[in-house]
Amino acid sequence: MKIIKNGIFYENPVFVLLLGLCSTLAITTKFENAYLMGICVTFVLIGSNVIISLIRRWIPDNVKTPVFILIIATLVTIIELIVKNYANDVYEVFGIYLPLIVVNCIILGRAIVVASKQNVGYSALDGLGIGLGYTLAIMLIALIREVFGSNTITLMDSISSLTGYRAIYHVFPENFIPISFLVSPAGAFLTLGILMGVFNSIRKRRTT
Amino acid sequence: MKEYHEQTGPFCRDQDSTTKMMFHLVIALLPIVLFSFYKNGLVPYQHHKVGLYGLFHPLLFILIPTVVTYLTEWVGARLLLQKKGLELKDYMRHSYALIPGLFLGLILPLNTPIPILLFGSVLATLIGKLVYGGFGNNIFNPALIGRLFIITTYAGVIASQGGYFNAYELDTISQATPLSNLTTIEGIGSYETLVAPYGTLWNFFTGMIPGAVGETSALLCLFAFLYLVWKKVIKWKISICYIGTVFLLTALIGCLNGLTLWYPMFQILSGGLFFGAIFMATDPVTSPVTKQGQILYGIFLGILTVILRYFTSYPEGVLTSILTMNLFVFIIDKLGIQSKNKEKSLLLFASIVIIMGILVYQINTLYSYHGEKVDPNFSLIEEHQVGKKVIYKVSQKGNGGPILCEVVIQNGKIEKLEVLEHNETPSYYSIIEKENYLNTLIKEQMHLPELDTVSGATISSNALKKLVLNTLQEYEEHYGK
Repeated sequence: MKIIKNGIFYENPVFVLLLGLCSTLAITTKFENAYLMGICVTFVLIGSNVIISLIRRWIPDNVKTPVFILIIATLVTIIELIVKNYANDVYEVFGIYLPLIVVNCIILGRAIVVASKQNVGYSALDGLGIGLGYTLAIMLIALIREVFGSNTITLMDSISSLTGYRAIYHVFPENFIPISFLVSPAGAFLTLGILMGVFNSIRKRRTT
Repeated sequence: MKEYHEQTGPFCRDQDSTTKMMFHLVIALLPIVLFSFYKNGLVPYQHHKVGLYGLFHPLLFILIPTVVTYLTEWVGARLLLQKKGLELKDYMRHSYALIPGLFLGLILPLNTPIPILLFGSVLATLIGKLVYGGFGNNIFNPALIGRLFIITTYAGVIASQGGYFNAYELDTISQATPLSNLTTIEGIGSYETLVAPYGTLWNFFTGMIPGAVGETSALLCLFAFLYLVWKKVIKWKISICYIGTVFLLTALIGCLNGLTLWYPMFQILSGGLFFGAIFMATDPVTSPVTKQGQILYGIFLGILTVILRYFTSYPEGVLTSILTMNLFVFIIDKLGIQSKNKEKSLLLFASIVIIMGILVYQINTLYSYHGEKVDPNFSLIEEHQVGKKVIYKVSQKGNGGPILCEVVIQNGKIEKLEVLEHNETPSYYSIIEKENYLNTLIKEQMHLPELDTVSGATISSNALKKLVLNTLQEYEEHYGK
């Protein structure tokens, strides 16, 4: 429990460690994209943490990084193929950002810092915690950006071919003009910056 | 050993001179506020274009952001900066709290809806100022940040409400604002297209032309400038260098294209250059402190403005360039200190002259197409013939990038026009769709040059029109009429 809380709160990858910002900024235009990306990253994170932790004794120190990347890339390819097969719409929406999970710094970072040193249980929990932290953070960013930027909440849209539902809700009445600035890349930075400020001020008050 | 204290700008010798500076600024702005009341309230009222509310709307329009920014600053200073009691009172007295709102009201289009205005003024203070740690720490001019938010988000909404025009101008002037005219016409323009629709250059000088609420009158800005220089409130070198650079560059460009003195005058008198150069660029916090730095800052601002006006589809270059140069103030100050060295300053001067030369040359080659006209914004991507039909895939640069279209021509007539891809602002583009402009283009293809663009989406619709014209020209070259 403590490990998971650590991942979500004290070492939140987005707000505290500032890792994996590329996908954070790029795909948070819709709420749906955010949680789907979160699930993908969490899966890869747990998987890579467990595998690396299992074989950590046999990896020579000087080829550590290539081996880690190889494992992560394998997992990402698995995810990519699954998504492409079962939810092609999601695959199209993610585009390049799905294969780019390979170079997501959170995953390599956790592999080096945690998985190559700790036992399997700890690594798995750490992966879960960090993954949850990442997912919650980008979900929050996406929620703010989508609600104010385009006046909708997309719960299921491109995944609807898989679930059979479409769920897109309007939030404000018609005459609310969405702040389309927030959907632009600059809006992503702004939202992230402000949330980071709020998050860290809370965190500081908690820890002191 | 001397002791140094770290301090934030503005650096004043007097004890409470920030308060005094603020006072003088308000005094200097007062005539401009009254003028905007006269131009946007009284004149339409006299011509029975607006009612009693419309008469006082300009004043309200300036008053609202002023009050709102003051309140936001007060709340923010309490909650975010955690100032209390006497400290809070002291902070408010020194923090220019009224000024961003006052400026914001003056640099926005008159038809901005009030809720949007409120939104902009809150963000101006919150994100432009308080997030950085309050007055003195901000990098960007708060009023410009507010304007940036409003214009990037709601430009389409404002345009659909009438944009920059007051009720009287809406009926009397059929053109767009002077500078957006500059971006839509072919080539460098002429007196008839640029100045004549708005009367004479005297109108530009006094400010009786369409434009933002309070930034049109160069005359009043000049008076304010003299007053502020006399009271030593602003850094006059920036304003002079800024306006001078724009004048010099556009005069050169005009000269090379056979235009006389009216052309640079038109350039410096339109688009709020005077207002921007005198009030916004000289903001005490976000402008250089060294003398050489101020001169450099002014020159770079001028160059950037000219670049923006000629190379982008943004008609208004002043406020954007000030925001951009705000980023470089620190570097410019450093350059300023270094250029006290004679050799280095000579080097700097030479490089500026070279930059200006290249710029003028570039603009000149871009705009002076005598003889055969080739539109640099147009490109033919694909062309193939099916029976008698010729199918073109062409693109034309619009407001947000190239607009990709498929045009089918048969016997010299357009059969089909379809937009495949575009990157225009959705709110603008929806106006085009609503007016069914594509159909109009097909219907009126014989009289295209005289066809009006869609008001509210001038640049996008003009791009579409040019696209059709260019494609027809392309067709004629290969297949005859």
